[in-house]
Amino acid sequence: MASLFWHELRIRRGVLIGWSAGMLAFFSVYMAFYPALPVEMRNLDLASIELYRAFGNLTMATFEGYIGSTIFHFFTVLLCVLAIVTGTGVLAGEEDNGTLELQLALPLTRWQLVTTKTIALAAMSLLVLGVASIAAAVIFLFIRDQLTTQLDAGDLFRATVAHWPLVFLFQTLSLWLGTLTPSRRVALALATVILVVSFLGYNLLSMSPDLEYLRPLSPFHYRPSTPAALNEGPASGDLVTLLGAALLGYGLAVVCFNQRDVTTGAWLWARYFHRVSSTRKVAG
Amino acid sequence: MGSPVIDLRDLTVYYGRQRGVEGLDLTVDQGEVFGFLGPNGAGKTTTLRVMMDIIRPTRGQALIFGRNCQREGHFIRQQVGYLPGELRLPDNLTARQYLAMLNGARGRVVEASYLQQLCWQLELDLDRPMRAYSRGNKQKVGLIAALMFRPQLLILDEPTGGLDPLAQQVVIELVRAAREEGRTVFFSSHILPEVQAVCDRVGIIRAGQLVTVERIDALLRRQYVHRIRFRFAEPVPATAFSLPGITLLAVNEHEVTLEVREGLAQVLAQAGAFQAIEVETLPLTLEEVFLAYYGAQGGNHGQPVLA
Repeated sequence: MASLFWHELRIRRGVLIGWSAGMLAFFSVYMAFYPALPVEMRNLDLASIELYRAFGNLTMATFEGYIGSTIFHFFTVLLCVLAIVTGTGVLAGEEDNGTLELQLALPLTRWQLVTTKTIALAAMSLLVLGVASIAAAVIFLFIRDQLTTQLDAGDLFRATVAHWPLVFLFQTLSLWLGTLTPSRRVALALATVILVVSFLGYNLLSMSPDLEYLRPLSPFHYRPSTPAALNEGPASGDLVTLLGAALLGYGLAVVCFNQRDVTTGAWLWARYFHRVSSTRKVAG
Repeated sequence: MGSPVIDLRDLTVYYGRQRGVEGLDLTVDQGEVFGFLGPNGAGKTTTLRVMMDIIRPTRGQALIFGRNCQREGHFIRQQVGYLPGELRLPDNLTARQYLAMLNGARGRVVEASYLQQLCWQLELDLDRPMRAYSRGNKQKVGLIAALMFRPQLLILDEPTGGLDPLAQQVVIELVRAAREEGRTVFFSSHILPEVQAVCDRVGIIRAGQLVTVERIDALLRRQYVHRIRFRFAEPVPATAFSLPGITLLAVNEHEVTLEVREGLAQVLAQAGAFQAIEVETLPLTLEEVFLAYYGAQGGNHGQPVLA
């Protein structure tokens, strides 16, 4: 299993290097930009503008607010895109490109295969998040003297890396969709729809007090991007909720992949219909 | 004789309403090289994928070493080398890196000297990125992956696909060597001369159903089509053998070569009437028997099948 784990990382080294470099660039641009932000822009009351409210409680008045509502806002979406790309890339992507067939010839059970790939996915997202977290902390140290904030580099590192459960959740969700659907393309489309609906839905629901009770249904409800999460660390309950949901995605992926006819490019349940129609034919 | 290495029982796979294979009953014994013949789409790859637990049967079961492929596949695969028919390899690795991964996943059981020998025999440089490989070189990587840990059972789907004639010959030698070591080979192919060269028995599959399982020598003896050459002392009219079920392959005044699908007695009587002085039955290759079989069974290949 260890051999297959390293193999998964090795064949995706290009993706990992690219995303790590992208995260480095993202933090460099966004964080380094903050000290140069004009005072009048920092003092804008964005919450009073309906359109901005729809995209979360944006504020630039404090560095914590800027990090939480602006940088982490886009950061989480980018990370979820990474999660979907990598989550559908293993199993579904490998089935599509044909490289899964020889892996299935190894003396591993299917749950061992899914588990190895899930651990590899976790490692991929941790690696990219690790680079992003170090980038955030180092850039913070460079601009620290120009800021008025209670935060230190450690806080920023902790808050950044605490996004991992959310990313892992989208990875296992995408992995599961890949074991359920006929192709990576379909899994990718469904995972993207879930991302868009859960992200936009979470933000739009804040505009309607009557529907606010639905917000906890979105995984974005649990992301560690509030000023409190930045200063005092992420709420462990939120992280446990996200991790629990991620493990549920892993469990579903194990169950579905165990039932799957690999290489046929069919929906998971197609096999059961085949069995019923074949039995009827024999009975007839 | 012990229990069979491969035992397929009423194996049936449906893809929706489309039949993959139906009611396959087949056994392959220890040390046997079994040829699995059929045209594209006949169900060969489906059968192999069920044996490797890549797809699951709609009905029936596949047993290897007496174990159920679906429930105990991971045990079975410890001793099975598999070459898929549609081999795809990760482009951004070298063959050495990829084979090392497969070896690691098997518990590092590969002898370095045997791996080196296989590379030498197949003339493959393991240290180039696989994206730079030709189709034939990729096929060699797949063959080495299947062979390198000396499995007790080799399941090979179109093993010589994309290989040059010299490499094809090496594959035949490797299969023979496996048989000499008492290992079993399930050899799926539609390239009949190589099956004839290496297999002990063959199974012919058509439209998902096994139409015959025989020893190659028996299959060659039990012909559906006879190819016969007559020589005559006197000139024979060109129309002398224009009979139903007969195809004239070559005709000149003193010699006629025929393919006889039916009415052999009538042909012999006609040859006697024209005072044939020499009769020669021409041997058929497995390919010709196979095509004839398909023709006789109402397959895709219409008549004449050997002309």
